[in-house]
Amino acid sequence: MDFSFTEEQTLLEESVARFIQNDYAFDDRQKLVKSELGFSADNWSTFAELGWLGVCFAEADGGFGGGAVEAMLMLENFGKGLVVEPYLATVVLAGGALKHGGNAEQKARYLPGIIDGSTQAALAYAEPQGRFNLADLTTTAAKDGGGYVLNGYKAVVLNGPAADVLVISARTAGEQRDREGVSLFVVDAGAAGVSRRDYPTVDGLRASEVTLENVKVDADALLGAEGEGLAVLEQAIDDGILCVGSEAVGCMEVLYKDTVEYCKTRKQFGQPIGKFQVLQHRMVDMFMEHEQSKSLMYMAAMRMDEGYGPEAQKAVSAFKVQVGKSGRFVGQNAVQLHGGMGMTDELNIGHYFKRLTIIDTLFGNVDFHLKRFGQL
Amino acid sequence: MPLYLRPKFKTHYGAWVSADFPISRLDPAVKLLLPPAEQRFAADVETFIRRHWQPQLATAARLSRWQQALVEQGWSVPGWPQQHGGTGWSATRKYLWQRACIRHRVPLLPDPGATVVAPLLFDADNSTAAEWLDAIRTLRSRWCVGFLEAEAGAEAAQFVTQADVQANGSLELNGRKIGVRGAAQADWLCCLARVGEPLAAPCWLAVHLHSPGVSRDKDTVTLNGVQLPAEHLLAPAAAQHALEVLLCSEGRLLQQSAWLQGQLDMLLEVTAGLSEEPGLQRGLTELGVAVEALRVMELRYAHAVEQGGELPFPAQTLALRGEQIFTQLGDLQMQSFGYYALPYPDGLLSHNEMPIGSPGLAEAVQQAMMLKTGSMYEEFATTLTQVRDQLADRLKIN
Repeated sequence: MDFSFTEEQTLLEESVARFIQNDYAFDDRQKLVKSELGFSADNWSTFAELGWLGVCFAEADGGFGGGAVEAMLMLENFGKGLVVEPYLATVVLAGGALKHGGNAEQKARYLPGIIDGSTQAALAYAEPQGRFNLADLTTTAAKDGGGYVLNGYKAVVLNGPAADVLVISARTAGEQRDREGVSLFVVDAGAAGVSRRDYPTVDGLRASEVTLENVKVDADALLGAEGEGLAVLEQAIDDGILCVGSEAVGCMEVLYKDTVEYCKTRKQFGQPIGKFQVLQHRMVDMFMEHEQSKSLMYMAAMRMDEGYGPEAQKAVSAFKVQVGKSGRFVGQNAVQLHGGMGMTDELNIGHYFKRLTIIDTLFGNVDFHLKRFGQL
Repeated sequence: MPLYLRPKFKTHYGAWVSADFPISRLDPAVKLLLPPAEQRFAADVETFIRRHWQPQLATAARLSRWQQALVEQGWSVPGWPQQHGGTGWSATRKYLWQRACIRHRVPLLPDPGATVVAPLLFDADNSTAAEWLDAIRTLRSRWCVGFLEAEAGAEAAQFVTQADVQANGSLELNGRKIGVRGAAQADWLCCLARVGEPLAAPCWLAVHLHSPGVSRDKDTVTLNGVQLPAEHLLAPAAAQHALEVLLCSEGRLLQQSAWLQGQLDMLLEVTAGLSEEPGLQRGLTELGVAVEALRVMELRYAHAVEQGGELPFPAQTLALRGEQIFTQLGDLQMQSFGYYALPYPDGLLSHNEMPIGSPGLAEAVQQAMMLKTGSMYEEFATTLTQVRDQLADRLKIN
């Protein structure tokens, strides 16, 4: 058995880690969060120049033929830096839907822009009533001549404000929660009938509520076969889970290490608080939670690279369960051990905590994935 | 622009080579990661177990044939160094062996002789030690381990069992050990006692259980003026350290998830119809995730050991996590028994009478009760608190 990385993977990992350490200081990140765009266009160009936006796309599509392990390595480091650039939304979710479901023409049309950084994208899949059920859709796409007309409402569309292109799930047949009859469409974000309400999220990102009112699209906007979009959507979301889970693992590592460091310097009763056994044990438990999450991250990445199917889905759900529980534990204890400073905006700790909290909710919480894990 | 050419770990994804054992029936967690030579080894192990472990036989005959086959094959003590009769297997092979045994519900080791006693004897340079080792390797002797004492806490410093050095160099041993697992069936006791000065660090001593002055009552062994030759002093080094080493031995740590998975599978079968207890079902699913995480941690650890590189985490991480999950398992097992968690029949009488509830249930209840409490102390004179202390020390967070 071999958990080593290839030389190329190690280079990639080192490259991202170096960027986070040297060019992504926490204070700079906070300025980006408060900026109009919400992230740095310069950083996005750098990502493109370094090839990071194309790592996980096939060479035939202009990418570098990487897979889940590469994504894992990158996102783990993004988590360490609390990166706000919309890699998840553009590359992993919307890009993933195009990668898994798009035909050659659609890939040729959209992927080069994503890979060279000129196109921002978003996946509009969630709806207010649906919670984590990807098939629970009230948005409809009705046949209209040679094309379709979309009507409906999509909730919390990550990177919605910056997106040039939206990949939208809509029902073309069946009842509200049927697995059959779900279709995906690639829609220009500026198309007539698309309106957005933009807002910041708790964890420093941007999202939109998107209303679709008689949005007319051509037949070539349909991604994959009509009514069979759910499988593509599930795969893109599972890619997303691996990525946010990897981010969470990176967040947990920072929280653990920063907490240990803080406890070695903060003094009470004439000695560093890290000398107290009860605090040492909490940090031991934080370390253990991080290591368990990291282990399931490796397993999920390997399963995804082996081929997408029930084994991969099960590994991804196990990982998400672990990350949800461990993230909560590590985040809460990091805040507790930092005392009042833990929740202030000035200190990074609270921001990692917020990100971990949101990651637990994204794409299904612990309860949702426990059930999925048990059923698979 | 940099090129990233290899999308996967450097793993070996070849098919499992075995006509007799289709891939679907083999351990899914490790088949993912086996190079061809290990695949062949895994197939050999499967063949060996299927040939020699015969569940249809009565218990005594089944064990006897199995042990004979192990000795003949040279696989009776796979964890030992090769010069003492061990197999010389890599960490991966030991892991595969353990997982296969547990999956087939084959007993891994007959008693603590191979795990606790033998490592104390490897460096000894006398014929008695060599004889003991040979008897353990060929499964001709059974050992039990005694360190718990009624008045002692978690610290070995509290132990009072004492061996006085006689004028001729022999030893006289006095004391009482409680909670000695397997005392009734064993031939030898590996006993923790102070030698010479009352405040000396405890050492390990070998005591033949048929010696004058030894009496046994279930799991209590009383030592009253027992005379021991000098060579029965096994390890002058600090015994508590030896327990720590044992606690964190690869052989023990790398089999935890396999054992847990076996228990979990049985529990899932037993509780399949209990839809009115959703908490229990949820607990089992959570346990499944926890065992899976532990399994990958074991794989990561074994890989690092094999590579001779830096360990991903201290061994205590596995020890602590394993123990936590054992406790979780014990809770769920007790829940699953329902009313049949109550009977506490006499173990000896049960051999002659019909079991209460289903066969094996009484033993399962006792095991679950022990797991619920955390069995680490009984086996290693160590508590979870102490393991956390050790881990804090290794992680340099203190």
